Amino acid sequence: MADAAPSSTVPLPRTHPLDVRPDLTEQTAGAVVARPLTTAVQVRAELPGPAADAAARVLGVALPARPGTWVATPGGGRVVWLGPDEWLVLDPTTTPWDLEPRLREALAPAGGAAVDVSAQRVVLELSGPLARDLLAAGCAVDTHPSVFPAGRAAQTLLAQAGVVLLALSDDGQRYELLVRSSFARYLADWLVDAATEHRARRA
Amino acid sequence: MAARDGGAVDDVACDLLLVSGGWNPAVHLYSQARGRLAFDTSLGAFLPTGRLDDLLVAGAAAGAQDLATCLRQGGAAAATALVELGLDVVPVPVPSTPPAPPATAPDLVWTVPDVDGDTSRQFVDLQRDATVADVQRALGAGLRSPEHVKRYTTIGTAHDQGKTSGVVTSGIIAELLGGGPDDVGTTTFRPPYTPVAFATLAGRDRGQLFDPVRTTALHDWHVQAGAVWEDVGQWKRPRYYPLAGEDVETAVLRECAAARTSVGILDGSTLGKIDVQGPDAGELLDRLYTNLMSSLAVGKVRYGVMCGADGMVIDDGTVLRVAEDRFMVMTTTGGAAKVLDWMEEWHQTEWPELRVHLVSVTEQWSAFPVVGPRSRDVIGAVFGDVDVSNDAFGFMTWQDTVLDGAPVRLARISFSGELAWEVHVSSWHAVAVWERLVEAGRPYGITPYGTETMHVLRAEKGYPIIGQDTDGTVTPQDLGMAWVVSKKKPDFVGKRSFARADNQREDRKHLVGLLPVDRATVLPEGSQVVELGESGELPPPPVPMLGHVTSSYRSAHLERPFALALLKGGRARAGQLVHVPVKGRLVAVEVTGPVLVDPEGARRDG
Repeated sequence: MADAAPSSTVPLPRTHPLDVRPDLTEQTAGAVVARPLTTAVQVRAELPGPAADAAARVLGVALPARPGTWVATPGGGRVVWLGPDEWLVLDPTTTPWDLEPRLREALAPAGGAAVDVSAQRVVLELSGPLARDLLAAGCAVDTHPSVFPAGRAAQTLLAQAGVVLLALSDDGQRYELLVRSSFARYLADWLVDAATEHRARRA
Repeated sequence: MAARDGGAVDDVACDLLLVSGGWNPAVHLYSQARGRLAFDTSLGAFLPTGRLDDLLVAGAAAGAQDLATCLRQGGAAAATALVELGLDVVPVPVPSTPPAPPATAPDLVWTVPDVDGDTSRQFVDLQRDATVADVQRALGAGLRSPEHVKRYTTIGTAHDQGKTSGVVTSGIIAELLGGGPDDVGTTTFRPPYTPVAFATLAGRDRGQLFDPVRTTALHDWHVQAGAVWEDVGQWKRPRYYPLAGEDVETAVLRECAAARTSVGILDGSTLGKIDVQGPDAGELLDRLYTNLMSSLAVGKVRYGVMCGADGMVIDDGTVLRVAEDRFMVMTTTGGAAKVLDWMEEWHQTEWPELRVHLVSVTEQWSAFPVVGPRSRDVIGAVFGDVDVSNDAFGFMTWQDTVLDGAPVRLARISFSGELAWEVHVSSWHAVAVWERLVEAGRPYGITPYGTETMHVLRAEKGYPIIGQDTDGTVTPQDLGMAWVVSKKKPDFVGKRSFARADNQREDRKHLVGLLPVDRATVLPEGSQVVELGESGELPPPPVPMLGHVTSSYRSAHLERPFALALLKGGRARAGQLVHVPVKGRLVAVEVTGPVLVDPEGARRDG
């Protein structure tokens, strides 16, 4: 992408695929919150290797080697294991046109790659006592904290949408769901449907 | 109808007849775990005979018939399992249950005597149409075991794998041999057991949730603009945008005319997009596309075709060289996932030595073709810092710019033959950029158009849609695109197949244009193309089929309908008359080259 930094004082407006579902949280009995648009970069590198080392220097944390895990970066981001040579970096504190070139400049000479995928996915947060129940309605992954504690990640299906599921806490009460932007509305509608019984109970 | 012990026969008219082969709980997992089943005459069902080492049976599987018993047994089994796993048992209160309905002992009826004694109309397996007569024949041949009877009669081998016929077959065998079902037993249950999912009976995958609907970032804009939708895979794409009172034909003719005479805009965001990075990126693309990609200069765009190992076209699209070590590959909408898999498979299994990484960016980038003679004015107005003249911004080149802080990529790509730019932008900013383009296009009557108009415009130029004008048996040469097949490259996927005798036949089906002579008939897609004999009549059946119509539209530009077709020896038939049967009459059509609008390509530079 152009490395030209944004110059205008009035930035071009952004739209979020779930702007049109403003009552998502209410309709899911408080369990689901759509997170703001988040900078995300897909990183490819051989591990161990010089590209992985370069990525670690940029991110301030080593790329997680263990399948199905994520780690926090010192700056408040996350690095999610997606495959033996593939990671997803989420960083709400920076812009795509800052993070992608920084990672690419560090990784490419070492045989790695970095690709801006910020608009590729939407992030949902699931929290509270209903979080696991909603997941269980359409996800085969065992989310019990004894086997899926904070730091675990899974690429799986929730209903008919591919998702990346991150456990954020050890008490089974906080998760993040990454879903392809084009599937975001389907998944939001499915979550609202899955919450029907809880909504009724609240009322 | 008659009483079982005889008596008068009544005829009863009915719309639907429900039949039952008895009920047996789903004990397959138990049986597969080597548990022994025994026939319970009080239930008329085969039941497990107790626990196995690691297997407890509870509820209906154990023969329980009412909710209270099922809950009690389930709780007890769960508690036992927890204790044996060394976990704490947290008592869970068992919900109260309404009183169970009074149970009646089953009447075990394996066969109902036919009034005429005809057992060949007494069906046992309703999917295989196997009858009591078939069971009798099997026993008559000396077979005794239900395993053998099953294989002799095919009972239990169809869709439900004996779920509705297995037990009744054991019962019938027992009855015919004189004994009880327990003496006969059941067939061996083999894994996998496929249950009838609860979701099949009462799931939530229905209505809007039946199948995911994929939406582009501009979905709400399209809704507001009154789009009529086309389902493309799971995507919703605008097919056309009718104005008040317009039908599809009028709307599409209007949209086509706008793109050919002024300017139109399309949401092309569903196109597949793959980021290809690494020092060997060009080499990988050289091996997968039929033409040379590594020679593409940074800043330029090239059209490419991918073939299978059999030399048949599987996908096409444009490729942008973004940097020395980076390409953006565009695929068809339908081919997006398949092409990435295809590239990964070759890279991972055949050429792991290539230093290249592939990442899907289909949804990262929104893409809008801005098409027509006035597109230069629109692009120039929105992106004031870009010199949009032909000299500064040539055909098949791209340039990056920034719009109020948002990076935008512009590419001179044309799927219509017109002067056109594709605007690529992060989907975060898709709505804002689209709205700017529409606003800037207002003085020129910028017209949003849908997939139908896109199809007409490209067909007028003879550009094939892979999967519509091709069917997996079509080579690039068949499409008239020998120019896209490199003669210099030492190898690429599909190359060897082009040398096969069959792929060199003169009478292969070629992509051609068809013009109905009556200037009125829109040939139905899929219609066969036939040839009259010297007598001017159809030859006697079977009439040789020369090919079929793959695309067919009304053209605003040509002011007549036209079609594309795959036609045997088609290129040599240019100028000939052939016929297409339409609703019982033969429509005369003239064979032409596939490029019907602007064959000299004069329009693409505006």
